[in-house]
Amino acid sequence: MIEEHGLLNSVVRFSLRFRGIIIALGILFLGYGIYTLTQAKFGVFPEFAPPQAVIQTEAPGLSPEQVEVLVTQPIENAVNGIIGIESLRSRSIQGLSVVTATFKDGTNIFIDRQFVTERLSTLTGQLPVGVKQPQMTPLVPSTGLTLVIGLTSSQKTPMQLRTFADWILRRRLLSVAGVANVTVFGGEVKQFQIQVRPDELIKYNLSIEDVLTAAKRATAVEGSGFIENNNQRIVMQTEGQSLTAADIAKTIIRHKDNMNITLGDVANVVVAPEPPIGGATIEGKHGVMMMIYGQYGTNTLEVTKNVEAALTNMQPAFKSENINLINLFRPADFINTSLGNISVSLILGAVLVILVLLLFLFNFRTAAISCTAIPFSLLAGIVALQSFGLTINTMTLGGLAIAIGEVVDDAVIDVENILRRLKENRSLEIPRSNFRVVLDASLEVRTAVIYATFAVVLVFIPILTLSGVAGKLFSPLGIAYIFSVLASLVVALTVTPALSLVLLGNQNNVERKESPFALWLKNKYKIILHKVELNSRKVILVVVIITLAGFASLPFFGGSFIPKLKEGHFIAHVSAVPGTSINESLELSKKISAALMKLPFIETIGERTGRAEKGDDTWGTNYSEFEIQLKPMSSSGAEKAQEEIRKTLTSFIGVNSSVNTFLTERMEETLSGYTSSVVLNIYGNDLNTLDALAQNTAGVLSKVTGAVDVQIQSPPEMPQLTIHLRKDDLQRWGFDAKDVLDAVQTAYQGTDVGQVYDGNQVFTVSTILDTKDRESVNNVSNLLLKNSDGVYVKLSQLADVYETSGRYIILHDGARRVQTITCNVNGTDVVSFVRAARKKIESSIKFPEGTYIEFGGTAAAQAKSRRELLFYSAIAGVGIILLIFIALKNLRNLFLVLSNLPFAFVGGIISVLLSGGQMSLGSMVGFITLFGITMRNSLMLISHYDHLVKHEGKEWNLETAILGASERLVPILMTALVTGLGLLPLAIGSGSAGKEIEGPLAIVILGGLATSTLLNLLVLPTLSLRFGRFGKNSFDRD
Amino acid sequence: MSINKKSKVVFYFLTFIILFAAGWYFIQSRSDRPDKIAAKDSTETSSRIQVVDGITTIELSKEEQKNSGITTIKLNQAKHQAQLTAYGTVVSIQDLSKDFQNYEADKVQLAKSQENLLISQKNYERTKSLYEKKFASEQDFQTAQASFLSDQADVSSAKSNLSGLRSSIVEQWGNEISKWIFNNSATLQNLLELKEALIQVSFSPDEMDTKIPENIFIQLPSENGKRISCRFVSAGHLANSQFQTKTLYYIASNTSLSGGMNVRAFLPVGKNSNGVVVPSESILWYQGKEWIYVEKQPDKFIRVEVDTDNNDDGFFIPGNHGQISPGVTVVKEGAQLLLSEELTPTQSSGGGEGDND
Repeated sequence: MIEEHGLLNSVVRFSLRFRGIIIALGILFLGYGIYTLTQAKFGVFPEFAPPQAVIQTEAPGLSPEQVEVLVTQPIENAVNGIIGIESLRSRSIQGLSVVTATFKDGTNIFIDRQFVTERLSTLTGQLPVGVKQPQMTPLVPSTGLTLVIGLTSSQKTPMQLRTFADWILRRRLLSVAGVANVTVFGGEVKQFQIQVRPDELIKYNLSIEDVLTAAKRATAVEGSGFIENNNQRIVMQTEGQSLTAADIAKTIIRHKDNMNITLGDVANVVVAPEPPIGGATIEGKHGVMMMIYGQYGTNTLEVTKNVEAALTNMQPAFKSENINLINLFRPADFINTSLGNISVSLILGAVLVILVLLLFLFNFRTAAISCTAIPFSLLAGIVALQSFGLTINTMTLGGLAIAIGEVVDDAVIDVENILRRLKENRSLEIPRSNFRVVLDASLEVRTAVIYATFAVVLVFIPILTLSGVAGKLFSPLGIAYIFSVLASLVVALTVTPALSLVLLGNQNNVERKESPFALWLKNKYKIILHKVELNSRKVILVVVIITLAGFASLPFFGGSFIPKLKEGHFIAHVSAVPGTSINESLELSKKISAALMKLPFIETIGERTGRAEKGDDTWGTNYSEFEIQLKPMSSSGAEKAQEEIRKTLTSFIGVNSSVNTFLTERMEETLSGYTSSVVLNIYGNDLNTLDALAQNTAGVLSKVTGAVDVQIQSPPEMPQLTIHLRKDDLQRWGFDAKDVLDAVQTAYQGTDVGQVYDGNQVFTVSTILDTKDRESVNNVSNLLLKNSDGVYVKLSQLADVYETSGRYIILHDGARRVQTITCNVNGTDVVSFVRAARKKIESSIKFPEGTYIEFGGTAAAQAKSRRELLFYSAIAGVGIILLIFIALKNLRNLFLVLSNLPFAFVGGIISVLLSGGQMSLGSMVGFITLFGITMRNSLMLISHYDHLVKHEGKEWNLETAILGASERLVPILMTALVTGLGLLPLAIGSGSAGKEIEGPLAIVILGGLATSTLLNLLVLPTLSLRFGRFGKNSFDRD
Repeated sequence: MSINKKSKVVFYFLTFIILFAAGWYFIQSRSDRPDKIAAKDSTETSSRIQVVDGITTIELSKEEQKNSGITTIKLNQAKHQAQLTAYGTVVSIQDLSKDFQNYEADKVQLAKSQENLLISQKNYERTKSLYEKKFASEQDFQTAQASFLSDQADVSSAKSNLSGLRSSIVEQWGNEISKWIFNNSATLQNLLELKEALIQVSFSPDEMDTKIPENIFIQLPSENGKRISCRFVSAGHLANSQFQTKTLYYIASNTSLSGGMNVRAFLPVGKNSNGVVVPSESILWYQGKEWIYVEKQPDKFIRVEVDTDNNDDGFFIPGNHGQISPGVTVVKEGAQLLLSEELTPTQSSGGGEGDND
């Protein structure tokens, strides 16, 4: 009956013969697994962003249009042909170009960056004079933000606070292991400014150029060499450079008639704040915000710990400087909460599984043997994840939680059969050796289990092949699941038989009674089976109707790519119309902060306006982001809080706002480049046409039900002052264009002329027009320039100076001009919203030739993921069918196994309905997992029928059908229950932190498992009786 | 059979209940979604903007205005004179004094030469008469003649010098100031005694068409805000080498003006007009134009295009502007937020292409 040779036989035989060694090896593996677990990296989600390189190029003084054409385009052209590049986005703002190159998944990020560096080196000499060398920003993971802190002080000036942040705190934090970057917002950046007074220049017959030359001399630092004699080499150091504003002011510009004209005579030399590009308020007061980013590949929890330790060490410094440190955002909190929640679910699931085993097996030893599979398999999954370089996160833990029922099942089937065969053996006249019985019993059920396990593995292939963010999120779940299930198979082939022989070989153990609960169930089950058989047609009809109803409801389901994450923290984006001054934005932010702080659930609030130097963002001074930390609260409370915050923001006029959580934004940003769930890209060449279309489209979009936070990403109409040089006049007065541009730049942007050292702190020295002359638009045309003949000429004599409208930012996608509109969706699902929006936009707006619109964001990602899932599922489905056919060798029996799938599907549908009708990607993955589990259960029943007829010589009739079903009742119920109960803790708190994605997945599996188990136990025997062909295979008939 | 029938009924009933419950829940779950909340939110937001006859009105309750820091101000009647800014220099008195002294010296020199000529002429005429009567030698006659001719040449030379100096002075200082020098006027004496100061103001060529103002103000770089009134004297004939522009001379009571000082000059242009002055923070730049928000009713604001001129207290809007007049209330603080509210895409009319409202 049982094959004597073959791989399985050898493995099981070896395990039984060297059972001590196997058990010892098992314990060793457990130890290794626990060690690996302690060394593992933890995170909320797997790294979901594809490899990216962000190239920043500073182009001082250039307008967005100039940056686009002169800087961004050459960089795009250089980078565009790199191998593996998938998308190229760019943003051109005043004085800065940011190009983001995204590479295909799976490429090596370090090699990608190397390619980019090589291409950038070819740009030497191609960029305009004055434009700095393009640089790549530090490599940080998509969720690399480790900590956001705020600094306030009632005794320090904004400049002192910022200087402390820049030169003491930032430097200390950058030296912390794992920290990649620290960006600083707010306060006042200390600068030595030579504020030129134009009237005084005329008085002394000087030009701005003269001042620049003198200022450069004032701060020059030169090396002096060394003196060497026969004995020593003595290094020389020169001192005496200007180190204070007063020193700089004494710098001589001109010496004439025994008179010195100094910088102080023509300019106010003062310590003043650098013209700001950003600002910050902390809890409604002026302060400094610092964002600390972890390095690529580091453990967020560990880096957070290191940073906090460094901050704790610096407490005396904070105290002595009278600076308050406020924690504004700590992503590690969500990681801990999520991992804690899901770990509790995992442990609870394991406990429930053990209880079920005890209830059904009614034997401590058998239950114990079965339970050993749990640690072995789960730790194997963790070892596999580590070897793939993946972190322990909510997704991988979710994969383990789903697998917990399955991994026990392998052992249960084995132990249950061994126990049964040992009992039977005891009743024989000449009992066989326990070794032989255990070997045969193990091999007897193995084949079907192996096929079923491989079918389950095949089911997960589509999940592993998902691309983009979905693939990055769910493939670790698949890996964890697959390796755990495969490990459980190995355990069932080795450790389980070995332990069974050691623990169950004893007669007393075998003679124990069957579980009374199982006996009671079996009796009731047989009665019900008889009744079902009597009403078989009607039962089948009802099953078909319910199944069809389930399928018919499919089109009505909404979908969301990313569920609402309960991070206990929100990021609110607030923007006014471009051109809003930083002071106006900060004033508005203060008012908003004050209003938000009145909400009882808010713990801390910090706000940043504009952008930071060396930061990734390109926001203007009209744009602010709020870090809103909530007090601990329930999941539903967080949703209400989000609504309250949104409502508070909308009460402010002139404010375009959106509220989201950090991780949701990072995912959405990875998908589309924007922190919104719906992204509409309008492509075209003419910026004015794009602006008009964007304005109209945004108007239409805002009227679609569910649209919130509608924003045009590159809004036009930023007030701009154009200085148009007149060539003839330049020639007439003896100027070239660069003279004029340099003078304007120095006057209004400032020109850095050197540095001043104060201890280990370095501050720039800048020459700029004095504040009074810089404030008025009307003064610009009066700017005086001096030509080589010493003649003063007003700017209006050389150029037309007029007010106009400009753009704050010019966007490119794939090196094409694009206007982007983003919005979030509230109250409906993203997929339905996009469908409605597309319809409304297409009917309302006519797109001129050469322009077209594309929908992006999570809706597009979900559609893509759905297509991929369906495609790969079809391929995997064919593989599974072939596999099952090989296992059963009968076409009819194959269809019987597959008949369970639609009913499982209906169960899943009902559970989705009951949980809100949202078909998330997690739900879809849940369906796939469900099919694997269901198929495995029905395969076990059908293969048992086959075994009864083929190997035990039973005749195929009602009695055999009921016998087979009742014999498989306990294993099937146990499998269903252990799987279901293993997932129950995950499903029950599906809204809580860490379970947002796996919760819907668990709900689908639970629902589907319930209906498929019902069908498996009640209908499949009837179907098998009618349509099954056992004891012979399809080939026999042929 | 009866059990069978009963179980059938129960089975069908249960199936019906399950299907009904599932259907009901499905419908409920979809209708219970917070669409209404979202719709309400968006309605609240968009209701702030109303477009009637192409005029966009922003409607804000007092609470919303307070919340966002919108403040208003009632405009008062104001007078305004448009002005140009130019650079000037306080003329060094040394130059003027030197010219005056040179002129006086030349004048004396001429007078002296003329006196000498008169004497030598008389001497010559007497010697000539004596010589003709043979009472004087030919040598005496020739000496007197030489002296006469020499003095005649001296007078010509002195006249020429004086004439050259006059031309030079006129070119340098213009007609009016030259007259002061030539006539040794009281004004010149005031200047020389530093009771008054002369200011040379340079005009850019593009500003030369402007009618020369009779009275201007000057401001010293070191004395912010303090303005000194000056009256027009004359236009200079020489260009300013520093600015390559024509020059105008003005005179001012000398309070603290020293020769060589560079000053900023403010020259009134056009007529003195009535109107209103709006605070500088009220003015917005949008689409290359200037705008202010006018409060039509306590809760309604509209954006009005204005054409302003710099004023010490803000921006001046002339009285002939249709919607801006004394008594009108305009937004002082928060104008940018109102513009932002007006331009927010959610408030866009959402019309077809070409609808840019």
